[in-house]
Amino acid sequence: MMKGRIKIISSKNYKDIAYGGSIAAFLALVIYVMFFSGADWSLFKEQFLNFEKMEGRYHIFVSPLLLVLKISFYSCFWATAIGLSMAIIRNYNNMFLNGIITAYIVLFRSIPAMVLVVLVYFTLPYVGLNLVSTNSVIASLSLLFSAYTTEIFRSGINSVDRAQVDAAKSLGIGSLQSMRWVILPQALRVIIPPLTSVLIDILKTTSIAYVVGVPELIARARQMEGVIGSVTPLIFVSFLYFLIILPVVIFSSRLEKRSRRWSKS
Amino acid sequence: MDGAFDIDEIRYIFFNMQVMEGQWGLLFSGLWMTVKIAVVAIIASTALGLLVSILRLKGNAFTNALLIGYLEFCRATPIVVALIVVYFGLPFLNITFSPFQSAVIVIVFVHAAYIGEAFRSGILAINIAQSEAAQSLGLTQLQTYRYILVPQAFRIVLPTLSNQWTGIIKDTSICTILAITELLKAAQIVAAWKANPTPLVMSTLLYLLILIPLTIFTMKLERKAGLKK
Amino acid sequence: MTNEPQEKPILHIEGLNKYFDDLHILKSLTTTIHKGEVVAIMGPSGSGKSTFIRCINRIEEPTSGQIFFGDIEVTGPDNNISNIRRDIGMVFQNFALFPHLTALENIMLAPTKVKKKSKADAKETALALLKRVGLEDKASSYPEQLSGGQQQRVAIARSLAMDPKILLFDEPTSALDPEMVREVLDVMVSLAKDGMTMIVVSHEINFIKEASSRVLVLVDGEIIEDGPSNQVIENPSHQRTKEFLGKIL
Repeated sequence: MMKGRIKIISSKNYKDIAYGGSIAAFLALVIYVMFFSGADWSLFKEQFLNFEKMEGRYHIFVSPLLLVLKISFYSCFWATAIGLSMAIIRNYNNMFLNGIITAYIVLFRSIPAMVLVVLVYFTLPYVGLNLVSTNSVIASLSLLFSAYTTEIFRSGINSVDRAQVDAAKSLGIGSLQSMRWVILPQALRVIIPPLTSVLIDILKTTSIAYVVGVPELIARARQMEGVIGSVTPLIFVSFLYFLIILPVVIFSSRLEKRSRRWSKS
Repeated sequence: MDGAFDIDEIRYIFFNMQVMEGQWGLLFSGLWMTVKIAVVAIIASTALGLLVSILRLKGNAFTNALLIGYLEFCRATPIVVALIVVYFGLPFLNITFSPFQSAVIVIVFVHAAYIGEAFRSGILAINIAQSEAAQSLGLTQLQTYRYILVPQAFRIVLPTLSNQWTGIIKDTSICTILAITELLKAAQIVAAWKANPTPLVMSTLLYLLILIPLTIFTMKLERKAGLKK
Repeated sequence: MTNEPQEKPILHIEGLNKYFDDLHILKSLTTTIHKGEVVAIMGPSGSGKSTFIRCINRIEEPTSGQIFFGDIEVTGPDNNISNIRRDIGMVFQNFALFPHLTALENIMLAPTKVKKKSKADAKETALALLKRVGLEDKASSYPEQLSGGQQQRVAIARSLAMDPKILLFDEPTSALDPEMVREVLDVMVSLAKDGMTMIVVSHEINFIKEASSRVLVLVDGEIIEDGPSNQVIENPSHQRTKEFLGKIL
């Protein structure tokens, strides 16, 4: 009896310490940054949130925003298409093709996005392939992320019970049709969450296009930063990234709910 | 160039060892910088991630909202943007970090959020009975974490963790936009100076030399975890 | 008029072998099945019954041997196996309904996608089939909302929708709770009475007595007994059959 009470009290104490500690730590951090870090907060407003200076300049972000969306769209499209095709090919269990696909996955999971984008953009012209910088980014992102989507589609396909494949076969449904009508609809539940995070990653990684001179959001923000002498454009751009990514998150959770419809009840 | 692929031509352009003569030193000092950023960032983000996950599990509504906000912020913010804000933006407020510090701060900040989420789902995956069993043996809550929950969670999150660590090493290359001579920057400097892409190819190979074994390791862990399910 | 006593068999299996690695599961099976026969396959677990029935439509790939379905060689390397499978229906132990589709959609899928029937046509047939298995009110239910017995009846309707010339049943009632066995067997008996050719892996002695004309007993991958149902059950010739029947009766 006594022992039990002591245990309860001690575990409660830890919780209180955790609560109190985390709040205190956060407040201490805020207070430190605000008053003791040497930061000047009127400067903060002027430099980081100076939207007066941005006025009349927002239209400058329209075309780079569209460009980012375009790069994202094509990269998502190709990454998904390549990933799905490779997962379907892998499903045929051909040793030779599987070896090639595995090598492809290992290579493109290993190479950093920044390195690939720089490599593609700066080396291809030497072999006479003059890709527009936008296209070299799209090509790089498609290659990189198809390595992930392949595995996502594959584990989705594998998650479907083998008996389902047998049942489809026994009805005379061919393998591609069974993929389309029986396996993929069921695999979608497993596929969608990780696929969404890949799509979000693609959206974020488009920012690397900045290094190869694509006139995208960050490049424009940095130009404007020079003109108006404030970091506000950059803060605005990170806000824009939020705005782009948010719908993807909402869309995916909807899709997830829809594909879960039949597993409820 | 007549469009035909001439093997000597390719060797001259992409694998030109004359270009590399005397330049390996710069490339390797770049590699050393990359390794330094990566090692510091991996250790710090794992420790911070563990702290975040425990705060998430033990926290109240206030800390939870804060930490979820932090996670969502990291999900939606490109590292390029964060790096520029920290390195080029903060000096406007008289807060100045060196390129190395900026690189580590941004990478740790972002990856700790993901690692924290991984640890949290790992701890949640452990049977609640384990925690009850441990406490019935008289272990305190801290001991339960130290000896029972964390080691088990570690095994569950190892695939995700190793994936994140690989991601950290890859993200060091983004720091090339700062005034810091890491591997990619070193390669770009030599490539521009010699007007030949061989250094870029060589740096890519160096990255792959480190990253391919890690990727294979990660994939093995993932497969093992997948089989267990 | 010899009234064609040697009508072309619907299924002829010649020297069928199946290995799983080193394990010899099916040992050179040979048998012939005629139109309208209802053949029950019995045998202890692990005797290869399921493997045998799954080899017939090559869901399981035979290691060697030949299978003829009418004039077509199922095991022929050039034949399009999907086309052959349309005419060989199969009902599985665990129903294997498609969980993302309603009962009606489950039945309509193959006719519309494989036979390219119109949606309206397929729906009409599917509703008639649901009525036949007594589930016309469950058309829009998802498999998870149905009991095991109902699911298995939908699965039977799904196979029937392709107008198969023969139906294979792989232990259709063994995953069911006892009180649901009867409703499935009733459907199977009525199919048998309508003259459907059926091969049924099952130990349901009532079904065998009531509906099947012939029993094969499979032990260790060999057919040790093959004869009319009454004879095999009442008066088996093989010692192993007696032991086995003694255990299940």
